[in-house]
Amino acid sequence: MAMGAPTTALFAALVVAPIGITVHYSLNDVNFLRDEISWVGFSNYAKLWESGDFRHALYVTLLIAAASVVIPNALGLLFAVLLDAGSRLYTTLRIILFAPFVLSPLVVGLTFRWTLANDGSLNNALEALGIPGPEWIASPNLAVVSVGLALAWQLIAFATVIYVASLRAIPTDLYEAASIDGASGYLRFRLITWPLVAPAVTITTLISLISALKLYDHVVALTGGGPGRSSETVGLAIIRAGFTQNRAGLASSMAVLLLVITAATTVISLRVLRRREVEL
Amino acid sequence: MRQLRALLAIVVSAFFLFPLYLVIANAFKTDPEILRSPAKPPIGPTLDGMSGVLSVGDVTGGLVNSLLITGSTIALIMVVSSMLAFALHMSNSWISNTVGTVILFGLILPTPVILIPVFRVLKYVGLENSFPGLILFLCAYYAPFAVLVYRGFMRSIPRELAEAASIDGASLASIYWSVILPLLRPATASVLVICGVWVWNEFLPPLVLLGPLQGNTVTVGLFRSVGQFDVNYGQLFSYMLFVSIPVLVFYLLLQRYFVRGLTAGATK
Repeated sequence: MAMGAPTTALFAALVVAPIGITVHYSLNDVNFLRDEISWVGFSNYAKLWESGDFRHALYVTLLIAAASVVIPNALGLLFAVLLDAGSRLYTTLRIILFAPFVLSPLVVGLTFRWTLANDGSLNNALEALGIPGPEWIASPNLAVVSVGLALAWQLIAFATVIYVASLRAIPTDLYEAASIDGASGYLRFRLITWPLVAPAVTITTLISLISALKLYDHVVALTGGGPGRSSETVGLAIIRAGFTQNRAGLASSMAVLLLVITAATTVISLRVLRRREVEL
Repeated sequence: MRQLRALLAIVVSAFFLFPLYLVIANAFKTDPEILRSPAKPPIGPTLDGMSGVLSVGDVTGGLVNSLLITGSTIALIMVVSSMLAFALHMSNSWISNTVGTVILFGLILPTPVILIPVFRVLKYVGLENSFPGLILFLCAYYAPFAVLVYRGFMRSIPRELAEAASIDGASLASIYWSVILPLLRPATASVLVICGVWVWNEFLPPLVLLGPLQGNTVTVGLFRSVGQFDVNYGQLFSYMLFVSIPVLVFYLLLQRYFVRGLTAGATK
Protein backbone atom coordinates (compact mmCIF):
# COMPACT_ATOMS: atom_id res chain seq x y z
CA MET A 1 0.00 0.00 0.00
CA ALA A 2 3.04 2.33 0.24
CA MET A 3 2.46 3.45 -3.34
CA GLY A 4 -1.04 4.52 -2.46
CA ALA A 5 0.12 6.71 0.42
CA PRO A 6 0.44 10.08 -1.40
CA THR A 7 -3.13 10.03 -2.75
CA THR A 8 -4.53 8.61 0.47
CA ALA A 9 -2.81 11.35 2.50
CA LEU A 10 -3.95 14.12 0.13
CA PHE A 11 -7.50 12.79 0.11
CA ALA A 12 -7.54 12.46 3.91
CA ALA A 13 -6.20 15.99 4.48
CA LEU A 14 -8.17 17.88 1.83
CA VAL A 15 -11.43 15.92 1.52
CA VAL A 16 -12.07 13.66 4.52
CA ALA A 17 -10.79 16.02 7.24
CA PRO A 18 -12.72 19.00 5.79
CA ILE A 19 -15.94 16.95 5.94
CA GLY A 20 -15.27 16.33 9.65
CA ILE A 21 -14.50 20.01 10.19
CA THR A 22 -17.73 20.99 8.40
CA VAL A 23 -19.73 18.76 10.76
CA HIS A 24 -17.88 20.32 13.71
CA TYR A 25 -18.50 23.89 12.48
CA SER A 26 -22.17 23.13 11.94
CA LEU A 27 -22.57 22.62 15.70
CA ASN A 28 -20.82 25.90 16.54
CA ASP A 29 -21.05 29.62 16.07
CA VAL A 30 -17.94 30.38 14.01
CA ASN A 31 -16.49 33.85 13.50
CA PHE A 32 -13.25 33.80 11.51
CA LEU A 33 -12.81 37.59 11.64
CA ARG A 34 -12.54 37.54 15.43
CA ASP A 35 -11.19 33.97 15.52
CA GLU A 36 -14.03 32.89 17.81
CA ILE A 37 -15.80 29.55 17.95
CA SER A 38 -18.50 28.62 20.48
CA TRP A 39 -20.64 25.49 20.86
CA VAL A 40 -24.31 25.97 20.04
CA GLY A 41 -25.47 22.37 19.54
CA PHE A 42 -28.13 21.96 16.87
CA SER A 43 -29.30 25.55 16.84
CA ASN A 44 -27.82 26.19 13.35
CA TYR A 45 -29.96 23.35 12.01
CA ALA A 46 -32.99 24.76 13.84
CA LYS A 47 -32.34 28.13 12.12
CA LEU A 48 -32.31 26.40 8.74
CA TRP A 49 -35.62 24.76 9.45
CA GLU A 50 -37.16 28.16 10.33
CA SER A 51 -35.61 30.01 7.38
CA GLY A 52 -38.05 30.45 4.48
CA ASP A 53 -35.14 31.46 2.24
CA PHE A 54 -33.27 28.23 2.90
CA ARG A 55 -36.36 26.06 2.46
CA HIS A 56 -36.90 27.77 -0.88
CA ALA A 57 -33.26 27.17 -1.91
CA LEU A 58 -33.68 23.50 -0.99
CA TYR A 59 -36.90 23.31 -3.00
CA VAL A 60 -35.25 24.91 -6.05
CA THR A 61 -32.28 22.52 -5.81
CA LEU A 62 -34.43 19.39 -5.50
CA LEU A 63 -36.76 20.52 -8.29
CA ILE A 64 -33.85 21.07 -10.67
CA ALA A 65 -32.34 17.73 -9.58
CA ALA A 66 -35.59 15.89 -10.40
CA ALA A 67 -35.86 17.59 -13.80
CA SER A 68 -32.17 16.90 -14.47
CA VAL A 69 -32.67 13.19 -13.97
CA VAL A 70 -35.79 12.88 -16.15
CA ILE A 71 -35.08 15.26 -19.06
CA PRO A 72 -31.47 14.34 -19.99
CA ASN A 73 -32.27 10.62 -19.74
CA ALA A 74 -35.35 10.90 -21.95
CA LEU A 75 -33.99 13.33 -24.56
CA GLY A 76 -30.52 11.78 -24.44
CA LEU A 77 -31.89 8.36 -25.38
CA LEU A 78 -34.14 9.86 -28.05
CA PHE A 79 -31.29 11.83 -29.67
CA ALA A 80 -28.99 8.82 -29.36
CA VAL A 81 -31.40 6.64 -31.34
CA LEU A 82 -31.48 9.42 -33.95
CA LEU A 83 -27.67 9.71 -34.09
CA ASP A 84 -26.79 6.02 -33.82
CA ALA A 85 -25.50 5.41 -37.33
CA GLY A 86 -22.11 4.61 -38.77
CA SER A 87 -21.63 7.13 -41.56
CA ARG A 88 -19.19 10.02 -41.31
CA LEU A 89 -22.01 12.58 -41.05
CA TYR A 90 -23.29 11.02 -37.84
CA THR A 91 -19.80 10.63 -36.35
CA THR A 92 -19.22 14.34 -36.93
CA LEU A 93 -22.60 15.32 -35.51
CA ARG A 94 -21.88 13.31 -32.36
CA ILE A 95 -18.60 15.18 -31.86
CA ILE A 96 -20.42 18.50 -32.29
CA LEU A 97 -23.24 17.52 -30.01
CA PHE A 98 -20.95 16.64 -27.13
CA ALA A 99 -19.14 20.01 -27.24
CA PRO A 100 -21.54 21.72 -24.76
CA PHE A 101 -20.41 19.33 -22.03
CA VAL A 102 -16.81 20.55 -22.17
CA LEU A 103 -17.69 24.25 -22.06
CA SER A 104 -17.30 26.21 -18.83
CA PRO A 105 -20.64 26.41 -16.96
CA LEU A 106 -19.96 30.13 -16.59
CA VAL A 107 -19.78 30.55 -20.36
CA VAL A 108 -22.94 28.46 -20.76
CA GLY A 109 -24.72 30.53 -18.11
CA LEU A 110 -23.70 33.82 -19.74
CA THR A 111 -24.77 32.76 -23.24
CA PHE A 112 -28.12 31.62 -21.83
CA ARG A 113 -28.49 34.98 -20.06
CA TRP A 114 -27.96 36.62 -23.41
CA THR A 115 -30.31 34.29 -25.31
CA LEU A 116 -33.09 34.43 -22.70
CA ALA A 117 -32.98 38.20 -22.11
CA ASN A 118 -36.23 40.09 -22.73
CA ASP A 119 -35.03 41.19 -26.17
CA GLY A 120 -32.83 38.10 -26.64
CA SER A 121 -32.75 35.62 -29.49
CA LEU A 122 -35.36 33.27 -28.02
CA ASN A 123 -37.97 35.97 -27.52
CA ASN A 124 -37.18 37.46 -30.93
CA ALA A 125 -37.75 34.05 -32.48
CA LEU A 126 -41.01 33.59 -30.54
CA GLU A 127 -42.16 37.04 -31.61
CA ALA A 128 -41.48 36.18 -35.25
CA LEU A 129 -43.88 33.24 -34.77
CA GLY A 130 -46.44 35.60 -33.25
CA ILE A 131 -46.02 34.37 -29.67
CA PRO A 132 -45.28 37.04 -27.05
CA GLY A 133 -42.07 35.94 -25.22
CA PRO A 134 -42.20 35.85 -21.41
CA GLU A 135 -39.68 37.49 -19.07
CA TRP A 136 -37.41 34.49 -18.57
CA ILE A 137 -34.85 35.83 -16.12
CA ALA A 138 -36.85 38.60 -14.47
CA SER A 139 -39.75 36.44 -13.31
CA PRO A 140 -39.20 34.32 -10.16
CA ASN A 141 -40.54 31.01 -11.54
CA LEU A 142 -39.08 31.25 -15.03
CA ALA A 143 -35.67 32.20 -13.57
CA VAL A 144 -35.58 28.73 -11.98
CA VAL A 145 -36.65 27.19 -15.30
CA SER A 146 -33.89 29.15 -17.09
CA VAL A 147 -31.21 27.84 -14.72
CA GLY A 148 -32.56 24.31 -15.16
CA LEU A 149 -32.47 24.72 -18.96
CA ALA A 150 -28.82 25.83 -18.94
CA LEU A 151 -27.81 22.80 -16.89
CA ALA A 152 -30.04 20.43 -18.90
CA TRP A 153 -28.49 21.68 -22.14
CA GLN A 154 -25.07 20.42 -20.96
CA LEU A 155 -26.44 17.22 -19.43
CA ILE A 156 -28.47 16.25 -22.52
CA ALA A 157 -25.25 16.53 -24.56
CA PHE A 158 -23.52 14.24 -22.09
CA ALA A 159 -26.41 11.76 -21.96
CA THR A 160 -26.71 11.54 -25.75
CA VAL A 161 -23.08 10.58 -26.17
CA ILE A 162 -23.22 8.01 -23.35
CA TYR A 163 -26.38 6.46 -24.85
CA VAL A 164 -24.87 6.36 -28.36
CA ALA A 165 -21.83 4.50 -26.99
CA SER A 166 -24.19 2.12 -25.22
CA LEU A 167 -26.36 1.55 -28.31
CA ARG A 168 -23.34 0.93 -30.51
CA ALA A 169 -22.25 -1.84 -28.14
CA ILE A 170 -25.48 -3.82 -28.66
CA PRO A 171 -24.83 -6.69 -31.14
CA THR A 172 -26.93 -6.19 -34.29
CA ASP A 173 -27.72 -9.91 -34.59
CA LEU A 174 -29.96 -9.56 -31.53
CA TYR A 175 -32.18 -7.19 -33.51
CA GLU A 176 -31.99 -9.41 -36.59
CA ALA A 177 -33.02 -12.48 -34.63
CA ALA A 178 -35.91 -10.55 -33.07
CA SER A 179 -37.04 -9.29 -36.48
CA ILE A 180 -37.02 -12.83 -37.89
CA ASP A 181 -39.16 -13.87 -34.93
CA GLY A 182 -41.55 -11.11 -35.96
CA ALA A 183 -40.97 -8.62 -33.12
CA SER A 184 -42.28 -5.10 -33.87
CA GLY A 185 -40.11 -1.98 -33.54
CA TYR A 186 -41.68 -1.23 -30.18
CA LEU A 187 -41.07 -4.78 -28.90
CA ARG A 188 -37.47 -4.72 -30.08
CA PHE A 189 -36.91 -1.46 -28.17
CA ARG A 190 -38.75 -2.73 -25.07
CA LEU A 191 -37.04 -6.14 -24.95
CA ILE A 192 -33.56 -5.46 -26.34
CA THR A 193 -32.60 -1.78 -26.36
CA TRP A 194 -34.07 -0.66 -23.03
CA PRO A 195 -32.61 -3.48 -20.90
CA LEU A 196 -29.21 -3.30 -22.59
CA VAL A 197 -28.77 0.46 -22.10
CA ALA A 198 -29.34 0.04 -18.34
CA PRO A 199 -25.70 0.89 -17.46
CA ALA A 200 -26.02 4.12 -19.48
CA VAL A 201 -29.18 5.00 -17.51
CA THR A 202 -27.21 4.50 -14.30
CA ILE A 203 -24.27 6.71 -15.23
CA THR A 204 -26.46 9.46 -16.75
CA THR A 205 -28.70 9.51 -13.69
CA LEU A 206 -25.79 9.71 -11.25
CA ILE A 207 -23.88 12.42 -13.14
CA SER A 208 -27.08 14.47 -13.58
CA LEU A 209 -28.06 14.12 -9.94
CA ILE A 210 -24.63 15.13 -8.64
CA SER A 211 -24.31 18.06 -11.08
CA ALA A 212 -27.74 19.39 -10.10
CA LEU A 213 -27.25 19.05 -6.34
CA LYS A 214 -23.99 21.01 -6.40
CA LEU A 215 -25.32 23.60 -8.87
CA TYR A 216 -23.51 26.92 -8.47
CA ASP A 217 -21.69 28.24 -11.56
CA HIS A 218 -24.70 28.24 -13.92
CA VAL A 219 -26.81 30.17 -11.40
CA VAL A 220 -24.16 32.79 -10.66
CA ALA A 221 -23.67 33.49 -14.37
CA LEU A 222 -27.33 33.37 -15.38
CA THR A 223 -29.43 34.93 -12.61
CA GLY A 224 -27.10 35.52 -9.65
CA GLY A 225 -29.81 33.75 -7.62
CA GLY A 226 -32.40 36.42 -8.48
CA PRO A 227 -34.80 38.04 -8.87
CA GLY A 228 -34.57 38.47 -5.11
CA ARG A 229 -33.55 35.01 -4.00
CA SER A 230 -36.03 33.14 -6.14
CA SER A 231 -33.47 31.07 -8.10
CA GLU A 232 -30.96 30.60 -5.30
CA THR A 233 -29.68 27.03 -4.89
CA VAL A 234 -28.26 25.41 -1.75
CA GLY A 235 -24.74 25.82 -3.20
CA LEU A 236 -25.30 29.57 -3.50
CA ALA A 237 -26.81 29.77 -0.02
CA ILE A 238 -23.76 28.03 1.50
CA ILE A 239 -21.27 30.38 -0.15
CA ARG A 240 -23.32 33.47 0.71
CA ALA A 241 -23.71 32.52 4.38
CA GLY A 242 -20.10 31.36 4.72
CA PHE A 243 -18.24 34.09 2.87
CA THR A 244 -20.47 37.13 2.33
CA GLN A 245 -22.13 37.02 5.75
CA ASN A 246 -19.22 35.45 7.68
CA ARG A 247 -21.55 32.86 9.25
CA ALA A 248 -19.46 29.71 8.75
CA GLY A 249 -21.45 27.76 11.36
CA LEU A 250 -24.76 28.32 9.61
CA ALA A 251 -23.18 27.68 6.19
CA SER A 252 -21.73 24.41 7.49
CA SER A 253 -25.11 23.17 8.67
CA MET A 254 -26.44 23.73 5.13
CA ALA A 255 -23.36 21.92 3.79
CA VAL A 256 -23.93 18.89 6.03
CA LEU A 257 -27.57 18.74 4.97
CA LEU A 258 -26.59 18.95 1.27
CA LEU A 259 -24.02 16.21 1.76
CA VAL A 260 -26.56 13.92 3.46
CA ILE A 261 -29.11 14.53 0.68
CA THR A 262 -26.50 13.90 -2.03
CA ALA A 263 -25.26 10.70 -0.40
CA ALA A 264 -28.79 9.38 0.23
CA THR A 265 -30.15 10.09 -3.26
CA THR A 266 -27.10 8.73 -5.08
CA VAL A 267 -26.90 5.58 -2.96
CA ILE A 268 -30.62 4.89 -3.39
CA SER A 269 -30.59 5.50 -7.16
CA LEU A 270 -27.45 3.41 -7.54
CA ARG A 271 -29.12 0.50 -5.71
CA VAL A 272 -32.34 0.72 -7.71
CA LEU A 273 -30.55 1.10 -11.06
CA ARG A 274 -27.91 -1.56 -10.40
CA ARG A 275 -30.63 -4.05 -9.55
CA ARG A 276 -32.14 -3.38 -12.96
CA GLU A 277 -28.76 -4.06 -14.55
CA VAL A 278 -28.36 -7.36 -12.70
CA GLU A 279 -31.80 -8.68 -13.57
CA LEU A 280 -31.01 -8.84 -17.31
CA MET B 1 -36.70 8.68 -45.06
CA ARG B 2 -32.90 8.59 -44.89
CA GLN B 3 -32.63 12.25 -45.89
CA LEU B 4 -35.31 13.19 -43.36
CA ARG B 5 -33.41 11.49 -40.56
CA ALA B 6 -30.15 13.20 -41.56
CA LEU B 7 -31.92 16.55 -41.68
CA LEU B 8 -33.44 16.02 -38.23
CA ALA B 9 -30.06 14.96 -36.83
CA ILE B 10 -28.42 18.10 -38.25
CA VAL B 11 -31.14 20.35 -36.79
CA VAL B 12 -30.78 18.80 -33.32
CA SER B 13 -26.98 19.14 -33.41
CA ALA B 14 -27.18 22.73 -34.62
CA PHE B 15 -29.47 23.50 -31.71
CA PHE B 16 -26.77 22.27 -29.30
CA LEU B 17 -24.17 24.33 -31.10
CA PHE B 18 -26.14 27.58 -30.85
CA PRO B 19 -24.65 29.08 -27.63
CA LEU B 20 -21.14 28.30 -28.83
CA TYR B 21 -21.99 29.85 -32.19
CA LEU B 22 -23.23 32.94 -30.33
CA VAL B 23 -19.86 33.28 -28.56
CA ILE B 24 -17.82 32.86 -31.74
CA ALA B 25 -20.01 35.08 -33.94
CA ASN B 26 -20.33 37.96 -31.48
CA ALA B 27 -16.64 37.99 -30.55
CA PHE B 28 -16.05 39.33 -34.09
CA LYS B 29 -18.85 41.91 -34.26
CA THR B 30 -19.18 45.53 -33.17
CA ASP B 31 -21.44 46.44 -30.26
CA PRO B 32 -24.23 48.00 -32.36
CA GLU B 33 -24.29 44.86 -34.53
CA ILE B 34 -24.45 42.60 -31.45
CA LEU B 35 -27.31 44.60 -29.99
CA ARG B 36 -29.27 44.81 -33.23
CA SER B 37 -29.06 41.13 -34.19
CA PRO B 38 -27.07 38.85 -31.85
CA ALA B 39 -27.78 35.72 -33.91
CA LYS B 40 -26.45 37.07 -37.23
CA PRO B 41 -23.05 35.85 -38.43
CA PRO B 42 -20.25 38.44 -38.44
CA ILE B 43 -20.33 39.98 -41.91
CA GLY B 44 -17.12 41.96 -42.28
CA PRO B 45 -15.69 40.61 -38.98
CA THR B 46 -13.85 42.99 -36.66
CA LEU B 47 -11.02 42.16 -34.27
CA ASP B 48 -11.90 45.11 -31.96
CA GLY B 49 -13.41 42.87 -29.26
CA MET B 50 -10.49 40.45 -29.25
CA SER B 51 -7.78 43.12 -29.20
CA GLY B 52 -9.81 45.22 -26.75
CA VAL B 53 -10.14 42.47 -24.18
CA LEU B 54 -6.45 41.65 -24.50
CA SER B 55 -5.42 45.26 -23.89
CA VAL B 56 -7.90 46.03 -21.07
CA GLY B 57 -8.25 42.86 -19.10
CA ASP B 58 -5.99 40.37 -17.41
CA VAL B 59 -6.89 37.73 -19.99
CA THR B 60 -3.33 36.80 -20.91
CA GLY B 61 -2.33 36.51 -17.24
CA GLY B 62 -5.44 34.42 -16.58
CA LEU B 63 -4.69 32.11 -19.51
CA VAL B 64 -1.13 31.57 -18.27
CA ASN B 65 -2.36 30.91 -14.70
CA SER B 66 -5.07 28.49 -15.87
CA LEU B 67 -2.61 26.61 -18.08
CA LEU B 68 -0.12 26.36 -15.23
CA ILE B 69 -2.73 25.19 -12.71
CA THR B 70 -4.44 22.75 -15.09
CA GLY B 71 -1.14 21.32 -16.35
CA SER B 72 0.33 20.77 -12.88
CA THR B 73 -2.91 19.36 -11.49
CA ILE B 74 -3.45 16.75 -14.19
CA ALA B 75 0.22 15.71 -14.16
CA LEU B 76 0.04 15.19 -10.41
CA ILE B 77 -3.32 13.37 -10.63
CA MET B 78 -1.95 11.05 -13.30
CA VAL B 79 1.03 10.00 -11.17
CA VAL B 80 -0.54 9.69 -7.73
CA SER B 81 -3.88 8.13 -8.72
CA SER B 82 -2.38 5.50 -11.00
CA MET B 83 -0.06 4.62 -8.10
CA LEU B 84 -2.99 4.28 -5.71
CA ALA B 85 -4.98 2.28 -8.26
CA PHE B 86 -2.03 -0.08 -8.72
CA ALA B 87 -1.58 -0.46 -4.94
CA LEU B 88 -5.30 -1.26 -4.60
CA HIS B 89 -5.09 -3.67 -7.52
CA MET B 90 -2.20 -5.62 -5.97
CA SER B 91 -3.28 -5.67 -2.34
CA ASN B 92 -6.23 -7.30 -0.65
CA SER B 93 -5.71 -6.11 2.94
CA TRP B 94 -8.47 -4.44 4.96
CA ILE B 95 -6.61 -1.12 4.71
CA SER B 96 -6.63 -1.12 0.92
CA ASN B 97 -10.26 -2.25 0.84
CA THR B 98 -11.25 0.57 3.18
CA VAL B 99 -9.31 3.18 1.18
CA GLY B 100 -10.84 1.84 -2.04
CA THR B 101 -14.36 2.23 -0.67
CA VAL B 102 -13.95 5.57 1.13
CA ILE B 103 -12.36 7.22 -1.89
CA LEU B 104 -15.46 6.36 -3.97
CA PHE B 105 -17.47 8.76 -1.80
CA GLY B 106 -15.26 11.55 -3.14
CA LEU B 107 -17.08 11.09 -6.49
CA ILE B 108 -20.33 12.52 -5.16
CA LEU B 109 -18.99 15.32 -2.97
CA PRO B 110 -20.31 18.81 -3.91
CA THR B 111 -17.45 21.38 -3.73
CA PRO B 112 -19.43 24.04 -1.82
CA VAL B 113 -19.70 21.56 1.06
CA ILE B 114 -15.99 21.53 1.93
CA LEU B 115 -14.45 24.75 0.62
CA ILE B 116 -14.63 26.67 3.92
CA PRO B 117 -12.68 24.03 5.91
CA VAL B 118 -10.34 23.34 2.95
CA PHE B 119 -9.32 26.99 3.17
CA ARG B 120 -8.69 26.54 6.93
CA VAL B 121 -6.61 23.38 6.37
CA LEU B 122 -4.52 25.10 3.67
CA LYS B 123 -4.06 28.11 5.96
CA TYR B 124 -2.89 25.78 8.72
CA VAL B 125 -0.04 24.52 6.51
CA GLY B 126 0.66 27.97 5.05
CA LEU B 127 -0.68 27.24 1.54
CA GLU B 128 -3.75 29.52 1.58
CA ASN B 129 -4.06 31.96 -1.35
CA SER B 130 -1.41 30.05 -3.30
CA PHE B 131 -1.22 28.05 -6.53
CA PRO B 132 0.25 24.95 -4.80
CA GLY B 133 -2.65 24.95 -2.30
CA LEU B 134 -5.24 25.09 -5.10
CA ILE B 135 -3.41 22.44 -7.14
CA LEU B 136 -3.21 20.04 -4.19
CA PHE B 137 -6.91 20.49 -3.44
CA LEU B 138 -7.99 19.94 -7.06
CA CYS B 139 -5.77 16.87 -7.21
CA ALA B 140 -7.38 15.43 -4.06
CA TYR B 141 -10.85 16.32 -5.35
CA TYR B 142 -10.46 14.69 -8.79
CA ALA B 143 -8.32 11.73 -7.67
CA PRO B 144 -11.37 9.51 -6.96
CA PHE B 145 -12.49 9.77 -10.59
CA ALA B 146 -8.98 9.05 -11.90
CA VAL B 147 -8.61 6.09 -9.54
CA LEU B 148 -11.96 4.74 -10.78
CA VAL B 149 -10.85 4.94 -14.43
CA TYR B 150 -7.45 3.38 -13.69
CA ARG B 151 -8.90 0.56 -11.59
CA GLY B 152 -11.47 -0.26 -14.25
CA PHE B 153 -8.72 -0.40 -16.84
CA MET B 154 -6.40 -2.49 -14.65
CA ARG B 155 -8.99 -5.25 -14.48
CA SER B 156 -7.87 -6.14 -17.99
CA ILE B 157 -4.23 -6.46 -16.85
CA PRO B 158 -3.65 -9.87 -15.23
CA ARG B 159 -2.26 -9.65 -11.72
CA GLU B 160 0.10 -12.49 -12.64
CA LEU B 161 2.00 -10.12 -14.92
CA ALA B 162 3.16 -8.00 -11.99
CA GLU B 163 3.64 -11.06 -9.80
CA ALA B 164 5.87 -12.71 -12.41
CA ALA B 165 8.00 -9.57 -12.58
CA SER B 166 8.30 -9.48 -8.79
CA ILE B 167 9.47 -13.13 -8.73
CA ASP B 168 12.20 -12.04 -11.12
CA GLY B 169 13.32 -9.70 -8.34
CA ALA B 170 11.90 -6.37 -9.54
CA SER B 171 10.62 -4.01 -6.83
CA LEU B 172 6.97 -3.00 -6.86
CA ALA B 173 7.92 0.56 -7.76
CA SER B 174 9.98 -0.52 -10.75
CA ILE B 175 7.23 -2.90 -11.92
CA TYR B 176 4.78 -0.01 -11.74
CA TRP B 177 7.10 2.28 -13.67
CA SER B 178 8.36 -0.08 -16.39
CA VAL B 179 5.53 -2.61 -16.79
CA ILE B 180 2.22 -1.14 -15.61
CA LEU B 181 2.40 2.56 -16.49
CA PRO B 182 3.10 1.95 -20.22
CA LEU B 183 0.13 -0.45 -20.35
CA LEU B 184 -2.12 2.20 -18.79
CA ARG B 185 -1.57 4.70 -21.62
CA PRO B 186 -5.18 4.72 -22.94
CA ALA B 187 -6.56 5.16 -19.40
CA THR B 188 -4.02 7.94 -18.81
CA ALA B 189 -5.20 9.73 -21.95
CA SER B 190 -8.79 9.59 -20.65
CA VAL B 191 -7.79 10.85 -17.21
CA LEU B 192 -5.74 13.72 -18.65
CA VAL B 193 -8.38 14.98 -21.07
CA ILE B 194 -11.40 14.63 -18.75
CA CYS B 195 -9.72 16.01 -15.62
CA GLY B 196 -8.02 18.65 -17.77
CA VAL B 197 -11.36 19.99 -18.99
CA TRP B 198 -12.91 19.84 -15.50
CA VAL B 199 -9.97 21.57 -13.81
CA TRP B 200 -9.79 24.27 -16.50
CA ASN B 201 -13.50 25.04 -16.07
CA GLU B 202 -13.40 24.96 -12.26
CA PHE B 203 -14.65 28.24 -10.87
CA LEU B 204 -15.55 28.15 -7.17
CA PRO B 205 -12.31 26.55 -5.84
CA PRO B 206 -9.99 29.12 -7.49
CA LEU B 207 -12.37 31.93 -6.49
CA VAL B 208 -12.27 30.88 -2.84
CA LEU B 209 -8.80 29.34 -2.46
CA LEU B 210 -6.72 31.83 -4.49
CA GLY B 211 -8.20 35.02 -3.09
CA PRO B 212 -8.01 38.37 -4.87
CA LEU B 213 -4.24 38.97 -4.62
CA GLN B 214 -2.78 35.93 -6.37
CA GLY B 215 -3.97 36.62 -9.89
CA ASN B 216 -6.98 34.94 -11.46
CA THR B 217 -7.70 31.89 -13.48
CA VAL B 218 -9.61 32.68 -16.70
CA THR B 219 -12.93 31.57 -15.21
CA VAL B 220 -12.58 33.82 -12.16
CA GLY B 221 -11.38 36.63 -14.42
CA LEU B 222 -14.43 36.19 -16.67
CA PHE B 223 -16.75 36.27 -13.66
CA ARG B 224 -15.12 39.41 -12.22
CA SER B 225 -15.25 41.21 -15.55
CA VAL B 226 -18.94 40.61 -16.26
CA GLY B 227 -20.02 43.83 -14.53
CA GLN B 228 -17.07 45.71 -15.98
CA PHE B 229 -17.91 44.79 -19.57
CA ASP B 230 -21.64 45.36 -19.35
CA VAL B 231 -21.25 48.19 -21.82
CA ASN B 232 -18.81 46.39 -24.11
CA TYR B 233 -20.35 43.18 -25.37
CA GLY B 234 -17.78 42.50 -28.09
CA GLN B 235 -15.11 42.26 -25.39
CA LEU B 236 -17.29 40.07 -23.14
CA PHE B 237 -17.88 37.55 -25.96
CA SER B 238 -14.18 37.66 -26.85
CA TYR B 239 -13.35 36.85 -23.22
CA MET B 240 -15.74 33.88 -23.34
CA LEU B 241 -14.07 32.72 -26.55
CA PHE B 242 -10.65 32.83 -24.87
CA VAL B 243 -12.00 30.74 -21.97
CA SER B 244 -13.51 28.18 -24.39
CA ILE B 245 -10.84 27.76 -27.11
CA PRO B 246 -8.34 25.72 -25.05
CA VAL B 247 -10.92 23.17 -23.82
CA LEU B 248 -12.49 22.86 -27.26
CA VAL B 249 -9.12 22.22 -28.92
CA PHE B 250 -8.14 19.76 -26.19
CA TYR B 251 -11.48 17.98 -26.58
CA LEU B 252 -11.40 17.85 -30.38
CA LEU B 253 -7.88 16.40 -30.40
CA LEU B 254 -8.60 13.76 -27.77
CA GLN B 255 -12.39 13.31 -28.00
CA ARG B 256 -12.05 9.56 -28.54
CA TYR B 257 -10.43 9.21 -25.10
CA PHE B 258 -12.90 11.61 -23.52
CA VAL B 259 -15.91 9.50 -24.42
CA ARG B 260 -14.11 6.23 -23.71
CA GLY B 261 -13.16 7.35 -20.19
CA LEU B 262 -16.66 8.53 -19.36
CA THR B 263 -18.27 5.38 -20.71
CA ALA B 264 -15.78 3.08 -18.98
CA GLY B 265 -18.50 2.27 -16.47
CA ALA B 266 -21.37 2.39 -18.93
CA THR B 267 -20.48 -0.15 -21.57
CA LYS B 268 -18.30 -2.69 -19.79
